[in-house]
Amino acid sequence: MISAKNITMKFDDFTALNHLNCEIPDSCIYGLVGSNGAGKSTFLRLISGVYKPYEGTITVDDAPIWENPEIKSQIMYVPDELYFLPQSNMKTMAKLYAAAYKSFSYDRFHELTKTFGLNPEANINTFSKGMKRQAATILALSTMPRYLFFDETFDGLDPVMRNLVKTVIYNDVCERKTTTIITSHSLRELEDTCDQLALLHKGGIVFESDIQNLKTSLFKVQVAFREAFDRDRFADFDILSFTKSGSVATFITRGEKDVTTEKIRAMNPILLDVLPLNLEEVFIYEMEALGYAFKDIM
Amino acid sequence: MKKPIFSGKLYVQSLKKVRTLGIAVMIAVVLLNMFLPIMGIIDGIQTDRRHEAQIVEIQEQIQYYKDHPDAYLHGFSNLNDYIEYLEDIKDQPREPQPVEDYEFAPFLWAMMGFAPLLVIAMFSFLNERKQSDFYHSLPQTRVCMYLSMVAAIFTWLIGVIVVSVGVNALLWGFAKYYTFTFGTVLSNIVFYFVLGLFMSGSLAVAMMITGTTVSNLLIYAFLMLFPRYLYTLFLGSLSSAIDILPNVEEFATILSFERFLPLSWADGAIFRNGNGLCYDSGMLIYSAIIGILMFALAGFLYHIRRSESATKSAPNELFQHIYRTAFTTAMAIMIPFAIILDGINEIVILLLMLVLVVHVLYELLTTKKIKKMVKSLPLIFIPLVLAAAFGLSVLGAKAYVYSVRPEADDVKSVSFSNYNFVTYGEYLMEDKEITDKDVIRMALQGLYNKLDERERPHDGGWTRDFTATYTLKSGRKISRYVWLTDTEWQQLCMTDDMYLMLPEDEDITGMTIYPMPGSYIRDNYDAWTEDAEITDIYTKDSFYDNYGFELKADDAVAMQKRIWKLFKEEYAALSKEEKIELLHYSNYVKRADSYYIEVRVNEYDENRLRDYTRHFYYQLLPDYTPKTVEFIMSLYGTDEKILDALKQMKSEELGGSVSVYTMEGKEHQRFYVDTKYFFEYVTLDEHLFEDGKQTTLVVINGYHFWLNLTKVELANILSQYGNVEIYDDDYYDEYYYKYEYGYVD
Repeated sequence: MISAKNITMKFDDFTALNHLNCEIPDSCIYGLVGSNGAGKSTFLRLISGVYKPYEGTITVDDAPIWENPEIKSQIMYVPDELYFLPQSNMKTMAKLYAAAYKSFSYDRFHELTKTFGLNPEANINTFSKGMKRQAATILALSTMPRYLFFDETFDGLDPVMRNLVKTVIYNDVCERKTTTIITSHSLRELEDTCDQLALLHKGGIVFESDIQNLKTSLFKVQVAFREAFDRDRFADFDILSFTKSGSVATFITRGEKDVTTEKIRAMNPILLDVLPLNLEEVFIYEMEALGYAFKDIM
Repeated sequence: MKKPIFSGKLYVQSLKKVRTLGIAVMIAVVLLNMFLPIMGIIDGIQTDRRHEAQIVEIQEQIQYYKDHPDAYLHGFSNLNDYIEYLEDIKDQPREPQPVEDYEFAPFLWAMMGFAPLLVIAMFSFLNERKQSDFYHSLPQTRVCMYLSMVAAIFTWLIGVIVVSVGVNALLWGFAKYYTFTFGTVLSNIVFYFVLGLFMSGSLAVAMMITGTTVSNLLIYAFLMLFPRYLYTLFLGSLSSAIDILPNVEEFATILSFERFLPLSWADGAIFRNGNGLCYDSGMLIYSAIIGILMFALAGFLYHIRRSESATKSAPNELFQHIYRTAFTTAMAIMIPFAIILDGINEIVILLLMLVLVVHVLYELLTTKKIKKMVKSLPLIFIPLVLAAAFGLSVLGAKAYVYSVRPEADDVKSVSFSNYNFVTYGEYLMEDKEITDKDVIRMALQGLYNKLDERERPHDGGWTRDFTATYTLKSGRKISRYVWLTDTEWQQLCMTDDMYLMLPEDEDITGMTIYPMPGSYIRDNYDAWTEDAEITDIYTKDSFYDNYGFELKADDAVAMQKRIWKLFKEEYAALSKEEKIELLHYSNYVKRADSYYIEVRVNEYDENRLRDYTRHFYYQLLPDYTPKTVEFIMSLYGTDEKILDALKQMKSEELGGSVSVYTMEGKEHQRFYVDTKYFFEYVTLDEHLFEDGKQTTLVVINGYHFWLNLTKVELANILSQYGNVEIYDDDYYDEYYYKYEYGYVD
């Protein structure tokens, strides 16, 4: 488990992370979403051992990451800005990775280059942006890591390749219990991939939850009654948002969907619709409940 | 789990990382270095060919002279000598000469640039964020990564050196007339490796504390040069402000530019000062230690360096201020230095502006932000304050130094150094602890001259500046640069009998007796052969005369030793006053073209790390050392010979030049026998033989003749060739000959 406690990271006068706390369980695909400058890349660099926090501790299975080769050998970080040795090809890079990571597997490397259709002899400078990302992903996966961190990696991939990478990741998670952290601007992107999601804003995690729980714990209810009513009629419910247009009220509520539906049905409404929310809507309403305007964050 | 401090795999990857640079430099350096030994090989082949041709030519000449015994033999007095000469040179045209250290593989000076380039290439990832993040994400500790990379740097450095030296050793082995030792090979490897280490250590430190190429190089230059610059400027300021302090060069310690390794190479290789690659092992060891310490410091700094420092000129704003202040201060301390040197003038204004320029430029070049530059301007007061502190420290030192005024009773002993000693006795006195009270008293007068700002004499008399080190009874030593008048200095020296000593034979490394003839000695060669021990000999102008004969080295040395021995015997018999007079005349009055013995003694100067040759002169005067003078005169010939020569010229109407010299070098202007009337003045020497005779050298068409004549006899001879008058000149208190010459008919 990756544990970050009270992490603070500064760059001159700018505080990138401000007393951040989070725990990332093993074998999960953890999504980290936030606007530009929220601190996503900084967080990944911290848990990769590239940066040392000004305050707080970051551990993997209670062992510190900083200057710990044993832990770092299990971590593979694919940054948003990729680096390859000058005038190198994938084979050259594979040699470097093999020298650095004892667990590097040439079998997996060859298998993945074949799967992705990349030429390992070609100069990487001749690759497109998407191909470079594929190459970086292949090299990262070939090190057989326990922890995989992708920093906006999918943003440059076409849908086919995106699905391919996701499939490979899923296989690793299932077979080797790999823990993956993916950052992105796009909730939609993460919705299909991740188990857990966290929203990073101004150096702190504002919201964190299991995706399944997010999707099922909040839902939209549209209801109408013969008699006049207002929000007070639903005082027993955990309502995040309530609007009424004419005689039809629309509200977002948290709770068990079936139980909530039965409770409303017992009030004899003339109209009752219970609708699921997409992830973005869930985030919007959760943020508003916390006092944030989601549009200001994203 | 143990954290390894070195990774073989990462080391190999690091070697590969800079291999393009390494291979390119290796090829260039190896090929360029091959130039000199190849030229040496070619030189050997050409020498052999020339030698063969020369042997054939000489053999043919010898045969000719055998067939034509009456033919004039040039350069040798008889044919047997010529045959003997052939035998001497037949076997080997010349002795092999040693290859100097700096000639062995001279282009290895490229290590001065190659080593820093290796560091830049290896650690360039520290200047770019994505590279920096990549390397810091690798599962090695910082120490492991650093040591593996540095090992790769050293491997390339030593690899290039060893390959180049090895190739050159092989090639020089084929150069027939050049030799080298294993010591030369080893010294090249060690020297150039240490040079590379020294040149690159500071750059490694600079790269760990900055994050852009510009700031890397600026801080590198600062680290390399500032300590020595500050030291030199400080000593220079002290020397200028406090002229009573001994010469700054006496404090040529390891921090001075004289002991800066790259300059040592340049001095030996470019200026060929014969000091080899390096002045001394101390300098090499010191430079190696600095290089190693710098790399160690760089390792520590890398360990604590943050990856996010990449692309920043300094880790944070505070360090940016510190770096800029350091640079600006280096410029600012020129201001007090200039003021001390020459007072406040326009140069100071210029320097102030330069300080501002340096401040602005540094900030702009490193941060590229005008806003930051403007914001930093108020901080320019810091370097100016530091510069003021520098100046005040010098003034404070001056006030203290001038407050020190020991009395004679406080002083236990005194020693002298850093003076232009003239006589051998003064040379011996250098650095010798003297406890004589009179000497101490006189030496303190020199100090008081400076402290009281006594005016130096304006009557044409000389003054002697020297460093006196006064050892007080308390044990404290005070060194001061003081002066005495020449007379006072000589009085001081004369209290010690050492002043009158002549150099011991075993200390003499060279001797010239000026001028010495060659041709007449040859006739009496057998009488003068003695063991020749003197290692250096001046033969060219002294012994070659118009007969084309060059005296052999052994003969010349033997003759010199004989003359020197005779001179020593006569000198020893002189009274103290006479010795003093002779030494005074020899070193203060003598003319450059007069007759004298020059004795040379070699000395190693530990401060300047060089050999020096000291010259001492002993005038040959007939009233002090008559036997020596007569002996030399006898080498030239007799009165009859000059008369014969003059008669021959007259009868054959040869024309040509006649010069007349006196023993003290007072020359009559040369005249030509075919020139019509003109007047010359002849002065008599002050120093005559007991019988009143004046020694006179007459050179006729290059032939040297000695005349031992009174002035009347001289006039009588010269009068054969023209009208001669003798008259007194009261103004000059000397006697003149006035003569005029007509045609010789």
